[in-house]
Amino acid sequence: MSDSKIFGIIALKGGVGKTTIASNIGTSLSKDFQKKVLIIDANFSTPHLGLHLGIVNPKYTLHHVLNDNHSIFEAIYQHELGFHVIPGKLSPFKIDPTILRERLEPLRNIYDVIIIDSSPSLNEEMYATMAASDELLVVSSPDYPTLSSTIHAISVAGQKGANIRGIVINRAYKKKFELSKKDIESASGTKILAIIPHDVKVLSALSKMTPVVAHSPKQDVSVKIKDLAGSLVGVKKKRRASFFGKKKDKDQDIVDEA
Amino acid sequence: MNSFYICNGREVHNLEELLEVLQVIDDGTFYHHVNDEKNDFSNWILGEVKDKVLARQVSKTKDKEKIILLLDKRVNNDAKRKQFVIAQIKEAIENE
Repeated sequence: MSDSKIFGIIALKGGVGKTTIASNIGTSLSKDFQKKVLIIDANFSTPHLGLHLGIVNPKYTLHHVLNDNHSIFEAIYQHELGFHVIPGKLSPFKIDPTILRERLEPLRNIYDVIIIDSSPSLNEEMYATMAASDELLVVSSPDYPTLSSTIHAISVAGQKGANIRGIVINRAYKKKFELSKKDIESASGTKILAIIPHDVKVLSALSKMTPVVAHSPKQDVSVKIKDLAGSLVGVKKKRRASFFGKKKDKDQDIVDEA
Repeated sequence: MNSFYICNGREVHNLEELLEVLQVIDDGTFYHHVNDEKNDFSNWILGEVKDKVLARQVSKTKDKEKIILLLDKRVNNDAKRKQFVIAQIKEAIENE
């Protein structure tokens, strides 16, 4: 599988929705685009991917793999929605994140897409994701503190020689006080790939440990995430025209066609 | 947010576009929307943009130039403030 791709999902700030974006993109790529997908929790200090996907207390985790005790194949779990997951350990122990890239190499032959949910801390944990990924998606939200973290993350990724695919704006309320697409692109020098709206359904889905794209697939938030997932693998999903005709969307969901 | 449709066919999506349109429309078109009976711009700003303060200010005048000044102040002050803060953030990060 020569065109396998590893996407690292990063943000230099907790709570912006990295894990939500990682788990939902992975779910959509598997469910809507029939890709062989693996989602990995590389947020070593606070690994919560499993809690988004209903994997609460796995026997083996990425921590066991990076502690050199177990093969990476022992830590892969099949999710009922079709994709595979390598969770982290909820009560983490010390590991060596620098060997992540090396451990992932054999998996390139198995999966079409590997998604790494990164740590939000600017340390070896995040560098490990940067080093292991072919492309990075920087998750942000339209406010000054997150923009500041986003500019910083992009700057660090650039220094590390990482390839940034673009920014995903999450939890947009479409309010006039928020930073605009133009503000963020111009300040960061990086293209916005998608604007994902705030939606309480995301929290409702999380309470059921299910990605919102599976929990509420027709919800606007899910449609936007599916479009983003499709754009990452060069597919634009067709939408059925509304009975009332096409509604103009000024925010434009996808700006990047792979 | 629903668009505003100017009677000349132009669709306006936000305050920035409304400002642009008001700077070029003729008086006939303007007074179609702002007259003794109604002030469509104020109603749209209140109902769709949800800016009560600006809507009240716009509702108090039927003068096109005054409405342009009110919109210009609102649109450009916000933009300048945002750009100022963003420039400061970038400077702080670059100087690390």
